[in-house]
Amino acid sequence: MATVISRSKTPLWAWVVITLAAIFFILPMLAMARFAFQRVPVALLGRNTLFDRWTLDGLVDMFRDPDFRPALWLSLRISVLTVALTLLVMLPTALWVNVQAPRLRSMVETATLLPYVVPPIALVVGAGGAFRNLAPWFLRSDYCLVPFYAVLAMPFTFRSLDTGLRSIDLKTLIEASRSLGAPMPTTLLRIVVPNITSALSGTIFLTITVVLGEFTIASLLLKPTLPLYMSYSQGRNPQGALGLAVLLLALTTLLFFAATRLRRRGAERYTIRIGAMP
Amino acid sequence: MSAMREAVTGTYLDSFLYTIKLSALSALLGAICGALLTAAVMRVERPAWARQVVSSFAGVAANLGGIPLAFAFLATLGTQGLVTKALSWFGMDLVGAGFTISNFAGITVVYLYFQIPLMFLVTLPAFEGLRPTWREAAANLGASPTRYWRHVGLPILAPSLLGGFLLLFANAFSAYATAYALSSGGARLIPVQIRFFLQGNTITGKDNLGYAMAAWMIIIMVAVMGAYLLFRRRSEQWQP
Amino acid sequence: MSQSKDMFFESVTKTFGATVALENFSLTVRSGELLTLLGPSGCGKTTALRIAAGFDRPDAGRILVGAIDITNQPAHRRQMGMVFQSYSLFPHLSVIDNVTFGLRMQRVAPNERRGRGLRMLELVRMDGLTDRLPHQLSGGQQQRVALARALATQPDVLLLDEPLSALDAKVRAEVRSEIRALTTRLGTTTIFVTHDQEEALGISDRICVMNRGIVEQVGSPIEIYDHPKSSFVAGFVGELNRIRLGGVDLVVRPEQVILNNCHTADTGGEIVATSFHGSFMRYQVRLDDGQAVTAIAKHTPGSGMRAGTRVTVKIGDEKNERPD
Repeated sequence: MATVISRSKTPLWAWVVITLAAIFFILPMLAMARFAFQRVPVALLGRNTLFDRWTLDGLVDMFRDPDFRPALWLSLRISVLTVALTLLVMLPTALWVNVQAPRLRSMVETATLLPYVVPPIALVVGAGGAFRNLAPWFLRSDYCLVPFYAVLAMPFTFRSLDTGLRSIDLKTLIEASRSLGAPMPTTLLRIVVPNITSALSGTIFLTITVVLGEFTIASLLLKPTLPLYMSYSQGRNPQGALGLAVLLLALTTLLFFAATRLRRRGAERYTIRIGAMP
Repeated sequence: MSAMREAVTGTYLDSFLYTIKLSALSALLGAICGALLTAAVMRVERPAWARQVVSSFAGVAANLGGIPLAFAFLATLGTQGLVTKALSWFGMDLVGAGFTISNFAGITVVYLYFQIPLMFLVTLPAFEGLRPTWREAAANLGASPTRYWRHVGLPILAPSLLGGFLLLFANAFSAYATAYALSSGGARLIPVQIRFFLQGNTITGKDNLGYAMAAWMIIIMVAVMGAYLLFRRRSEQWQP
Repeated sequence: MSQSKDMFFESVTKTFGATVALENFSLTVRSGELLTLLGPSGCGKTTALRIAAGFDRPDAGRILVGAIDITNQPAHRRQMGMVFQSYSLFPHLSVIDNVTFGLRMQRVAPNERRGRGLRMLELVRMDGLTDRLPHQLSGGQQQRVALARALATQPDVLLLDEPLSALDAKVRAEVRSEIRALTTRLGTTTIFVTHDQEEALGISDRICVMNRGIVEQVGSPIEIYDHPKSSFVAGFVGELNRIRLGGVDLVVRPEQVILNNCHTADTGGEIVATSFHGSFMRYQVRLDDGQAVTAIAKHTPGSGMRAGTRVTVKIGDEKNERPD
């Protein structure tokens, strides 16, 4: 009886705010989808033409374009590598902050905001200058985007992991596991990771959304990623490009949601609420 | 050093002021709307998946920008936009009222599309950290819901909300792909100018000016992030 | 100090979905007394307290303070002081600002507010730490401040929701006696919720034992302990042996069981386990017919018996109540 969940009803103002937000966020996507999938100019749109000439041709044309697939594959490969790099660097950092140095949390968190501080152009120019002399092969490779994107995603990935780690009693978990004889790698894989699956899936999806949305750096370094391809093909096939944008947005949101749902169901079996702790 | 001075005089100074104004306004509106949205979503307990949907969408929308976002708003509020057209059926003339998607007000509205979700993502943990017993204790001591927010809820959230505002400011300051895609007005933005001077494929002969502007921008951002760190530390006191 | 008032629960019923938290719950809390709601978790005691505070609305029934029906009054209009299980001090306010929060809500002038706040802090011996922030205090200190905060507005009724359960044993005893001393001194009508029978016996004027949303028994601690009205009460308050001796069913408290060292090995049983509690010793005995009995004996130097000792088992003179 320690925790009694208050069962107050959602007040009216909350529904009003949520409805207004939904309109603001959904309308532009609908308008873009309509442009992408309906071949009727807005000026001619009326009661009689509302259901005319809906088509997926733009999107189909785009899928048939020989440049499309390489761009998609490149972006997917970069996504996977960026996710790997992010987990490799940010997970130990977040663990270290939570176990060893909670006092440094606000410092580290602010440090992860680096991409806001240094404009992407300066980042590319600075890093580009350095690498051109040290390792010229690096900037020639398409994968040189990976570290840039990992840095760009840092504000999101660190927060997501940190929130996840803070919600579990990490120190006790690690100590319990180690006192039972598990070596550190086993502890991390078998004990810590299963307890932060939500944070991990959040991190992975946030990283992917960054990679699939980034334009500036790719265009500065002239790498044929999906966003760059979409922007170039806009002139030839605007409907295809924007249709793809809508599709990507819907897909990532859905996948993101599905991932959180999946672990929710799993997590609820384990979650023990202690007192009224938030 | 002369480049540093040149970067903040004349039209360049105007560019800085324009960028700061746009960032501040979109951050302020984004912070207020984002906080309201977070507070509203916190009050929704059923259906249980509602908060998850909003979180998922916010994660995606906060990273949206560039041509897709610009075009989505052109198709909505542009001269040939869906909403512009719908409003004209009801006799309302959006363009005649001085609203264009490519002017200052228009760009601000478009920016809100990624600013509000970012605010939501940043402040959700703080809202979740508000303990129900604080609300109950306040009510028990005679505070109406309004006075609870004034004396307890908002003061506790204040550092997180201010931190969120600063983050939004920085976010708007360095995001330019959207404004650039929307209009030539975007060309006045500092990051666009830096790119113009530093791109390398055009010979402007003004590399130094580009570096100077980037340096100024970093100075501004470091100041903003310093303030952010202060607020972050303060909110950490009671959110271990 | 304010005029204390009686408080009444009249046939209060509350359900959460399919679970019945309170069923036709009626109780009178007398002016100035400390009444404890005691029961296992899920018995409805916290729900009763939250309904009194106005955090939950009853499905049926009424709540009265004095002659006034407050059933439909929102929480912030009620004259109730509450102390929560988790330290619920406002983290951004200093100790004194926490204590005077209620007075501020009543728009009491700042000077008077501070004076009254300081007096409350003196009463809980926290007047040296007025300007600290809650996170700089220990658990016991926080709970004392919470007590001062709840009492500062001179509420009609003080509500305590397991206020001691987050504290460690020594601090717990300290804060417990402080609560008792303070409510007696101020004459505040108090409802204390706990699942700890020892705590309830020690602090209360009267105890209301609850189980599954209904009242099992209301009475003074001694009445409840010596004359339990149901086997639930007998089992929940204090320990109980249920044994059959000489063809008679008996219900006996461990301290009524008398063990004697016996060498003839004909009657009784054998001590299987012992545990030492300082002032007393506790024995687990297995009778020869297989029944288990717990006995408690006062500890004096040299009086202890070891596991494995053969003993005779006798029931003390006191009358053995047989509930049911």
